[in-house]
Amino acid sequence: MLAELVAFMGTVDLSPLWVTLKTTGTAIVIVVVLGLAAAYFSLKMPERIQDLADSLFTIPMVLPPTVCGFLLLLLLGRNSPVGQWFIDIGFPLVFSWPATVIAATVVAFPLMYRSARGAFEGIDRNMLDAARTLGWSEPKIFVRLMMPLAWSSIAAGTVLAFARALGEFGATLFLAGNYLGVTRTIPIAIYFEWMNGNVEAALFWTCVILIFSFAVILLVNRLGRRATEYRGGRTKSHGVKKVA
Amino acid sequence: MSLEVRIKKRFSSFTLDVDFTAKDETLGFLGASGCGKSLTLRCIAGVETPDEGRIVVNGRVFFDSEAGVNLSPQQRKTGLLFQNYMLFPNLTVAENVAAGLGRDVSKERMKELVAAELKRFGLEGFGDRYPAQLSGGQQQRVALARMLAAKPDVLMLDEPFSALDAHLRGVLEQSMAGVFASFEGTVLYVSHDIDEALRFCDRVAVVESGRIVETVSGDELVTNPKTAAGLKLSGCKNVTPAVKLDEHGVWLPKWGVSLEVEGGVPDDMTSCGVRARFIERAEGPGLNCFRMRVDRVSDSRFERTLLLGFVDRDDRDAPAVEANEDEMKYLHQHLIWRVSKPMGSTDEVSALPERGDELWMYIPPHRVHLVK
Repeated sequence: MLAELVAFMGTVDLSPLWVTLKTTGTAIVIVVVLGLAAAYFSLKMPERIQDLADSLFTIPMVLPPTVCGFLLLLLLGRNSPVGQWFIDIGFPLVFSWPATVIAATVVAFPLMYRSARGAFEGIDRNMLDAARTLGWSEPKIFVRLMMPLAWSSIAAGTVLAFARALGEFGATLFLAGNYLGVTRTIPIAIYFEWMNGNVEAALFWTCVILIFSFAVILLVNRLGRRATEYRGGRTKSHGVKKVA
Repeated sequence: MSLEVRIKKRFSSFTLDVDFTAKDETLGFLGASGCGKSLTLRCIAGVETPDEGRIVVNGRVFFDSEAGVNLSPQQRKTGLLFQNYMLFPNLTVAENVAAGLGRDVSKERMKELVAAELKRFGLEGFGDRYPAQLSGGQQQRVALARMLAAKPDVLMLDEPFSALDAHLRGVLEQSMAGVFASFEGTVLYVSHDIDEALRFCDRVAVVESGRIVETVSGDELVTNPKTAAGLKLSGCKNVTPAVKLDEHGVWLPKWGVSLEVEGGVPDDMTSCGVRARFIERAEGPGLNCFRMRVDRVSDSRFERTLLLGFVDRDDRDAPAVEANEDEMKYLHQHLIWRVSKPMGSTDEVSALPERGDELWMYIPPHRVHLVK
């Protein structure tokens, strides 16, 4: 049994794991930054523009991933001016590794944006006004007040966005294709291994995804609990932050 | 030390239009909820922007629509105490108190200042706790400490006692009075409670639907109010529309009776009021004496409140209504009377009027307020 497993591991090309980690890791950083920024600034816009911006930011969540992928291909492909410009400067976007990041970012972004926006909206405006009258600058209010108060929602949004980016299939296939070692992520590997009759390999990647997703969600949940201990009483206090 | 405010701000169903000055004193804003008193404080603090006008604090122009001046709340650094204190829940008590100290203050100096404020407000030993672990009264003291540590030019308090249980107020009111006495500068105090205003304020501005209708001392407001809003806010329970009959008489359409008053009836008066405590028992018919029926009775510790209906009322302007028909109209046709309960003797308490009794009541002419 063990010998079989070792023999099997010898035959598996692990590059989809590295591609997935690299893609998801890069995408989640971009998504968190863009999502928080979009949530923060969209709440400062006049109301009419706010609704428009909100619809625009949320639409990738509603559209089928294939539609996202197809639209991105039309926008960034060889026949579009944007795609041509990138080819001219020597960074062809489509069917390259950056394309997997773009696809994952676009589909995961709305989850982050919506969670962060909901959390920011939930903060009492008077609390922020109190900070202003105490002389706090807007960046300080964001870092010291809005982020900590919204932390559990932001963590939840990060988990959701991470899961979405990790499992991205449709848009990635459209925009990035299936190049082993470059754009073949685990979800794409699972599909093509199974299509080619390699059921063991498909199962292996499925297990990897399961374990990895579970571990990340567990980690973020624990971090979220630690950061909201000030709410007092409801959580067991392991390592309460002491401030003199 | 002075404050000069003249601002306007329009909303779809409401316009704020206030104009006042204050010196080194405590000025109270007394008004019903939604009348614009909190909004005025927010405009001065800079978290709300008026449409037009001018705000000058201690000679510094905070806002001037004509000159295009509008300082940010950070530049104004006013001391604004919110109704629910708005302590930062993710920061400890010590960090909250230090929140208004600028970057120019050194770490050691900051520690000293915070320790001094905590000591002053009896919060020693609470520095490491989070606001959620404190009682309401402690939270209020942290908020006061945070506000004062920031050394603001003007203090503004928005109903600081509304979030507290009644039994906590006594001591806190005393410490609040101490804070005001030691603060050099203008204090603005928003409240809807006349007793709070009397306790803390040198002058009281009565605010009604976005306007200041009168500014007087607290005692003056109680003894000689000029407006119906002022009369009601000074705690008068019986305020009713009135029509001038002659130099000494008014007709009260909702009550269905006419009253004699002392000192002449002004032409521009529109309402009449008499305090629940100043109504007296009478032997029988006479000037300003009315046969009344006790319709409701409710007791508190030291007094009994009775709802009295006019038995011989004149129905020509407003037919009498029953309680289950229209509660508000029913109340408006009644008079509220308060009597002290004799202490220590249950026999005397049982001698007080009961529901269903018919009494003769006298409204003393010199106790009747006529207001605009």
